[in-house]
Amino acid sequence: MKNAQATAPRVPGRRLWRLALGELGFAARYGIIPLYGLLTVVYLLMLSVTPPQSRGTAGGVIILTDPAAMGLFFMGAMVLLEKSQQVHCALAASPVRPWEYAVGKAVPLTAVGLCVALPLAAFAQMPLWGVALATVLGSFLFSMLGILVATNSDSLNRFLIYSIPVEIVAFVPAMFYWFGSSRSPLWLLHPCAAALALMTRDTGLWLWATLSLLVWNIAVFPLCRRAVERYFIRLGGVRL
Amino acid sequence: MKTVLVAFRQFLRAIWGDAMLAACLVAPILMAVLFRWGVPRLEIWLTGLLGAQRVLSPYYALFDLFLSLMTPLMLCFAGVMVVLEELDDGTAKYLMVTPLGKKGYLFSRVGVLTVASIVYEMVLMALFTLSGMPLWQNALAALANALVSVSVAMMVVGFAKNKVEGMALVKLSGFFFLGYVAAYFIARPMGYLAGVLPGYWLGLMALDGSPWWAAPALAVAGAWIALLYRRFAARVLR
Repeated sequence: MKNAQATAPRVPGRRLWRLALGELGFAARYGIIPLYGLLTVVYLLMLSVTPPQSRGTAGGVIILTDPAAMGLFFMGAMVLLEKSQQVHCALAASPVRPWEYAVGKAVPLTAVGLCVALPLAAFAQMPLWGVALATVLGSFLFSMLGILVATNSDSLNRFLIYSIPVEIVAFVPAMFYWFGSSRSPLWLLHPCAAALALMTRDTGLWLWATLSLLVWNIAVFPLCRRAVERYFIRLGGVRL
Repeated sequence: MKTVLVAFRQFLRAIWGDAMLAACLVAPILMAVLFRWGVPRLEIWLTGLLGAQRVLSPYYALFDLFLSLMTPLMLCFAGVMVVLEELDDGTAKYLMVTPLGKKGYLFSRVGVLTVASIVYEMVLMALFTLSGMPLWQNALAALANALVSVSVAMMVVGFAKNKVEGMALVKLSGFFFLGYVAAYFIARPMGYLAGVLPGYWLGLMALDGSPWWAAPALAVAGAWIALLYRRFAARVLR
């Protein structure tokens, strides 16, 4: 039996799939999914009292700052809870690779974010494909940033403090882009402005906005993978 | 009392080290400055853009009320996060069996800052009020919102089994802000449905200029505390 297990063919991505499913289960058990169900209803109510011509603008702000940025808000608690439960010690000794751990955390939050963003986009009559793309790429980026900050934080309070500058750098320029009069393509270099550009009906910007978000994701992912690797290595105050 | 003060000092040192205390003290000031000088500028821009005489100015008291709730909530969150951390890693249990006791532990983590927040909020509002809110309204709002922040702390600590659930509940506490919005945007008697939120009555107090609306605000905030106390006690004080 033991021998059969050892020689069983390795299914690519199976471990990642299980990690993601496990995280999704935790998100449901810890109240993140019910909370976002409730928030979707509240956001829809808020959009319904917004004048129809401003719903797209309000919807863009809501989607960017909440469902897409969920990873940045919850990642600290998720990583620090695992730390206090010593889950990381088990993970560090298991075959799970740092990149699988990071992606396994980002995928479920992205899926939940998408389930919130799409009804809001439909109600605000925003382009669904653009919103979906912005939410997926934005949420993945925010989750990576969340892991980067969380693996460098010793406490929840410290995580919250460290995430403030990230939020300021992410959201303030994006709000200037969204509410300002300048629509220069240079704005698309900023990932959140690029995400907002994907939520407009100006499809001419979509390709560049998608490229910008992809480049940001590709740039941040190795940093995040390395941060998790370092985090696993220095667990318990000793190098494993 | 001495043990509570010692525990509070240790707690202050911890959140000072995390820079959380500084953030909790500075964040309401930043928000107040942004409201006091940013919102009137935004109003000028919006009236020019929309060709209307007034866009935001009828809601200046709403901004004041937001600030009035944000101040105690920020300070309460700092305490709640530490309690969640200490419940998760087991430190809380050890502290509760010291002469500090369970109630002393909670008072040192949440109570002292909440009481301090009343004074802090009143000073901030007196300096930065956007609508020129009178002192009596300011004091009543500070008192009611301090009770709201206590009920939020009870809700988070009482229901959250760990940090992740705590963060979800912290997010849920944003619903308390909806009471103000309901007072301004939902006509009475339909709006009374939002009366389960203390902010609704504070919104009516600001709208009508009558101090009597503070009575249901205080009563509802007290009812939230009474409702959450059993759960909270079961989790922490058992």
